[in-house]
Amino acid sequence: MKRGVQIVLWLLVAGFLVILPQLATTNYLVNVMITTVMWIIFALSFDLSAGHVGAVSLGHPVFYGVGAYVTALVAPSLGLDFIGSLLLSAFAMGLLALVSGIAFFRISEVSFAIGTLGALIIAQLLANNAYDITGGPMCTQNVPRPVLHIPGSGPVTVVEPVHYYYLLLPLLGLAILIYWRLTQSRIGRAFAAVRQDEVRASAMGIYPKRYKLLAFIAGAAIIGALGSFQAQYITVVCPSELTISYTLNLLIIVFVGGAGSMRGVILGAVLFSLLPRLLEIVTDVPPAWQQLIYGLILLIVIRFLPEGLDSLIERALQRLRGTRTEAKPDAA
Amino acid sequence: MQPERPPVLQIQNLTKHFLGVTALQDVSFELYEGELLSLIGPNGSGKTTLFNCVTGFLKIDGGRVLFKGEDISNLRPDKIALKGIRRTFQDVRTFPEMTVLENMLAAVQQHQEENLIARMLGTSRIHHLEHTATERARELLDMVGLDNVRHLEARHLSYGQRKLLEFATVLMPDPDVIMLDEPAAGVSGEMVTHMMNHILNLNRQGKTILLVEHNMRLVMDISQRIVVLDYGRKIADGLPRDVRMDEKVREAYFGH
Ligand SMILES: Nc1ncnc2c1ncn2[C@@H]1O[C@H](COP(=O)(O)OP(=O)(O)OP(=O)(O)O)[C@@H](O)[C@H]1O
Ligand SMILES: [Mg+2]
Repeated sequence: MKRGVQIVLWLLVAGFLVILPQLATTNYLVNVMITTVMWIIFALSFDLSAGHVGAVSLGHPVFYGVGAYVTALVAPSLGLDFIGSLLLSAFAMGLLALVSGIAFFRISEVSFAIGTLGALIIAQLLANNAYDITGGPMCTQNVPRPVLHIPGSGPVTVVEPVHYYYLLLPLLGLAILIYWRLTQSRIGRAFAAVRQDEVRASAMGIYPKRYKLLAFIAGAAIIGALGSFQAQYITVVCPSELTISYTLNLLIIVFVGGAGSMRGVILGAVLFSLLPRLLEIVTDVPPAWQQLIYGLILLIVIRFLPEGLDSLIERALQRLRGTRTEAKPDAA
Repeated sequence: MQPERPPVLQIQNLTKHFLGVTALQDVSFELYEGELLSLIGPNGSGKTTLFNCVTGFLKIDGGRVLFKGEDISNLRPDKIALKGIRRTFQDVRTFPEMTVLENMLAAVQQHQEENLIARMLGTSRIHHLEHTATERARELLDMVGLDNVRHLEARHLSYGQRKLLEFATVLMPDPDVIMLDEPAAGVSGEMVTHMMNHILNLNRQGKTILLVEHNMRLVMDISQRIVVLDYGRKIADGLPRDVRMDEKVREAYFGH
């Protein structure tokens, strides 16, 4: 795509996202929008590792939940505001990813997936049982809401969902920017090299662990910030933020949408967030059935569209452009 | 042997065991600058193991490897590669989902810019480096006859083409030592001659090459020196015509 066209498209999308809440008539709809944007950020941060360096961290929600706890438990005592809390959680989760990544990347890919999953389960157990610190199942309550200082008037506490939505949008922009710059630059080529053949990458002077750590840390910092947002939005942080069902959701979004593709991941997140809401309107699907349906969708897509829905879009686009004729390989 | 030229690579008493199997036992030899040295030996004699030990993919059990006088034993593979030793793999390796051109560019990106931030921002210096790298890549691809398929993903290439691509990628950073593990194995007759000619031309341009091959006839004409391994031991080291006549070599190869 031409650069100019691309910029115009992005501006249109940004404009659309800014105007969108004005069309929403109820807080319910605004909440759906917030959830959708949060899943996009969640999935992009997960895909940095899973889709680009091939390190599927089944424990990714750890950084979300612990990030939320950091904001709930630590940030207020430091007197941090909204942005300060986001930064603290992002930094803390980046650091946690660095330390745990050094340990986890020593082991094979399968044990990496299982090991990180174990970390998630342990984190939830700790959150449930450390009553004195986290409040256990009673949750950490009364997380301070963001306070904005608008010139001319006094400090304003953010309560309305629509205002939270506007606080969330810059975070989405930042997540997209980081994702895009990491994967579309020369770093992205090193990511791809590490994912496709670690041995060959090493023989070319690429240190696989460095790039795995980079993707892991960037993803953790982004999702740590989102956890912080969630804490300040709901004002309560519960052990359920460390649930394994988030992992399942991430797998569905990323692999149905298209791992390693920003467009695919965003599409996956939007579908995942909006389809159930649409289903609700038409029929009453009990939540337990929803999980089953998700699982089935995942199986079907992986079976018939191993590269996700994005591969359909890619094919359609190529047809639109008029299939560029590539040189056929010479017989060797 | 060639006292006026310094050794680039010194392999000293290299020893490697695998669970009871001795893959390498006390192997020593030197590779001199500008030399084309062939390492030959029957199947399982330890040639690939020696490559893996020198390039850091296997831990060495005994002995050491010096590169330009510096001990590089058991360094990480990526560090050894960046020092200027590049290798190919016997079981040809390419990045299957990258195009031919991207495969070439991936071979030099660490060389060109170590700074992560600059790479993330894509500074103009980076764009310049990328441009020069692309030009070099296309020259090399042209040389091996792959320039017309440069936008094709590597997985669509034939086996022979992938061997040529891997060969071309190790040339990208203009390394001091080029190590080729059976570059002509498994390719058709015509391609074998092709490949051998490329290797010979490179050496004529002054490149230092360590070539592994188990077909003795293939390397007789182009090598300046030949080292022969058998059951992990060096059994001969010398000029091609001397090695050919060597009793121990004949026994290892022909059993008489
Ligand atoms: N990773 C490994 N684990 C265990 N044994 C190994 C390993 N790699 C090689 N070997 C053994 O070491 C010996 C030397 O193998 P190597 O692959 O180095 O031989 P080669 O000379 O390259 O043979 P070829 O001509 O078939 O490529 C063989 O007996 C082989 O079975
Ligand atoms: Mg071998």
